[in-house]
Amino acid sequence: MLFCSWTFFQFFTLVFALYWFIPWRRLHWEIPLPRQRRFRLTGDEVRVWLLLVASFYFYASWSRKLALLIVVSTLLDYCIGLGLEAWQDSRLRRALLTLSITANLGLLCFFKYSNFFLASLDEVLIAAGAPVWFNTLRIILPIGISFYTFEAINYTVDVYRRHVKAERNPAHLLFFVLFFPHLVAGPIVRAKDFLPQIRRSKRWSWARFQLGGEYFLLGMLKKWVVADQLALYADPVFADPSAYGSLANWIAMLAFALQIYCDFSGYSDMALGTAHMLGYKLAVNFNMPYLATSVSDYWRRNHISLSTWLRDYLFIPLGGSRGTFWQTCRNNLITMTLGGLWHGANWNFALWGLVHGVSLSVNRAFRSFCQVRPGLDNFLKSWLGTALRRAVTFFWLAQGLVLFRAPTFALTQAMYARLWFPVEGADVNHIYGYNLFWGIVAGFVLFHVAACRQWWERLSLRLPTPILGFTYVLALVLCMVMAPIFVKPFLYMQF
Amino acid sequence: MSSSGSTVGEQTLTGHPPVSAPVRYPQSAIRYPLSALAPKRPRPDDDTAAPCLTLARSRRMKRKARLLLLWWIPFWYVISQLALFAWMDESWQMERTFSPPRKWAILHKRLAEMPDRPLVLMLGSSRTDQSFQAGRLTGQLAPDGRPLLVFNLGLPAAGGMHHALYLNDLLAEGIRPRLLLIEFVSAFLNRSRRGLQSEEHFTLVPWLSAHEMLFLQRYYTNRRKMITEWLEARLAPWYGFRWNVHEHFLGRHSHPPEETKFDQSWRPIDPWGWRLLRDMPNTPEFRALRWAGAYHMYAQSLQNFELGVKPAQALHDIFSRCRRENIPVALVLMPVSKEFRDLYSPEGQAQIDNFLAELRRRYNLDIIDATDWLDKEDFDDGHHPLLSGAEKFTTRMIPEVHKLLARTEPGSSKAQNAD
Repeated sequence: MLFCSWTFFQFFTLVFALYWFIPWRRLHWEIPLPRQRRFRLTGDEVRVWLLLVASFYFYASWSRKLALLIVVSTLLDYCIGLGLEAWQDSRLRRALLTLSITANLGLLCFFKYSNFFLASLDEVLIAAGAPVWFNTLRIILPIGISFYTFEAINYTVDVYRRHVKAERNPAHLLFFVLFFPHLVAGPIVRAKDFLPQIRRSKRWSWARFQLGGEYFLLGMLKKWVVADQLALYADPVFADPSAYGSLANWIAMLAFALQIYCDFSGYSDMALGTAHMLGYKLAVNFNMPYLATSVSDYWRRNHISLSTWLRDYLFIPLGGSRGTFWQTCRNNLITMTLGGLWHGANWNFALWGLVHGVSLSVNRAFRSFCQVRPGLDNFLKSWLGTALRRAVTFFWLAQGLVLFRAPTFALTQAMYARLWFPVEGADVNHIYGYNLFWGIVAGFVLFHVAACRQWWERLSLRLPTPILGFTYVLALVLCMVMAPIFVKPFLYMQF
Repeated sequence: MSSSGSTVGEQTLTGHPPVSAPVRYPQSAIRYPLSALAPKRPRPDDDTAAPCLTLARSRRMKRKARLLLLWWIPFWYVISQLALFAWMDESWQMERTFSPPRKWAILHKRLAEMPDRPLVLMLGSSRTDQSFQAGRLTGQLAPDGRPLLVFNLGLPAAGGMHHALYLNDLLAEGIRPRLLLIEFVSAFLNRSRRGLQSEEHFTLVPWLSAHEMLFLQRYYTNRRKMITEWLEARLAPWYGFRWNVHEHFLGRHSHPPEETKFDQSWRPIDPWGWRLLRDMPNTPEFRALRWAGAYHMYAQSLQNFELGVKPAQALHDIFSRCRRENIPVALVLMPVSKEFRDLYSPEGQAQIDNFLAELRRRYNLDIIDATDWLDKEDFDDGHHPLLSGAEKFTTRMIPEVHKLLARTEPGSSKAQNAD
């Protein structure tokens, strides 16, 4: 069920109506239990259950068995969380934490990486001349497994570190993992941020609904108007770079760079918007990453929930940047390579992560180099230097994304060859030619300028309500007209 | 709600363990529209920039929100959608969707001019539309001595489902044909499957009226999808008709030269419903291009032909209705080139033959088999006629119509059998 689909619209309308229009707050049941105990069920608790059931349905509409798998693994984490809180023995606690991490990563590895490792082993064996091979397993990759696994690990590690208290209500923990806006493609939610929200009573707020609607509309614009349109320039070229000329390859590379950002940040915005409309807030996942002035800045702005997760649960436990330069480089390489592999079971992703790890290390070395050269440092901080840093960073990131997108090494090589050695060839066959591409690029730049200068922030408060309403509807109509004929799934759903 | 805990719209529940530290995300340099809701903060440096989730709302925003959401957004939404409908009606429509109302208007005009004439009506697809020169039969005398009114109601992409709809509409309007000829469009009897041609796939659901949608949905394999598509076009026309909007901007609705080769629905219609093919080119190159287009469109579908239950039901419904209403009816197998006929698999052809035999047996049906009436040179794409083909077809059709009229004249043996 995609956010920008009719099915989701129907689903969300029903959930939204049940959630807000039934006067749950008046509900207060007390069911007597043996030994003078009472089971209390308040309207707010029923609302949590409603969203929990809706979230389960949301996932089960794709696969019931795999939805049950999430439930079982979360219940295991629930029990482990209670154990971690109750027991004081550090060895026992460590064993429980290991069990939780092993179970979660084990599921992730089984579903996502087993075939990848088997195929890689096959290649090694074939290269070595061994007459054996492994058959790949018939496994369906559960949607969003990478996201909810990290959320579950976050919970148990934080309970282990005593940063959060173990959740006593299993429904709340299930809801934390299953909440449908972030279930399939993030943002990766932290337990300490989300669990307290579940306990708070929700009240209807028009302003909050408007906020959610704005986020959702922004997400739709990014997805339908930018990402899906640019996919028409990127997809055919990445499928066969040799069939196109260098210009088409350069445009495909740029198109994909914008597509992946708008596709994923569009999804995140829709997730944020949906959550806001239901009275929850999720972490903002993007902060205009293509305005980054360095690769390290890029990772502070791009997929923030993942990069902060990797920082807190992998990079820092490895030693972070507290050791020597070379130890920090090693930690960077390990973190980013694993981060690359997190995106998909493919050596291309690992290589992409490795390139980013190396880039971070080079960036660190360059910063040290600049710190002892005030002239260079001042120049780089000037507007010209900043523009130069942004341009170089974007160029480097876009080049790296070829590794991310191309399905095989052979196609990656073919694309780089076309990019760097000009060849005449076919152009992408699009009904609007390249006009639409340049139009979208211009819109993208304009959006960033407007965002940096806070044009909309100033305007939206001053605009009369009718004009503001007209602006929203104009944006909605633009989304509708530019919607692809066949709905394209979000890129990050495959991760 | 600001990150410092001013939780507008939320209250801490009593009886629960104390809520842990409020959600705090790093500060943001994002200037999305939404940050309009955030309080003014000093702009962080690039290197310290990190996102923030703030829901602090100014009082003014709160006041505005209700008015905006309840009134202005719905208002502008409705206006924008109505504007699209008005624009479509006034300025542009696809020719294919424009053909049915045009033909109906012409038919009504003819009926108003000649109310007493017995009506011979042929329902069919674009093949009928281009083949049957009804004007040549009009005025000839029926067995009862009255001059005939013959009309070609062949419409592009219309098969059994649409014929059932048109018959229903005719009878609802009180128009009772003296003789009804129905084209047997075998390609449209194909079971609806992804990637293969069938009448369902040819039907432009967003353009159907509510009445048409409600009538046709019973013949759809995936009714829910059809109704959803139609509803989308009604509730969100900018979405439902988005492809047409793009075509309009590209100037394609007015048929650029390359498209006129494949779609003849832009051509004018004569007063008897026949599509005027007078200036249609007839060069080997043109025909080769058209044949390639038809092959591309139909080959795979006909090679994998399977008789669909729903389209077959539409034909059963037509003949049952005609029997109930006592309207003489005949089935016409339109001329098709041998190359085109050979596209059907033997199994598919057997299913068609069996179905025809069943129809003949069940409804005591007259079938005019005109399949091989035309030569290869009379087709432009293997199944649509050139002008010469239309003339040949009509010439051979005229006596057949007279024979049918004579056989179905009240008092004749056939008419008595039908009774």
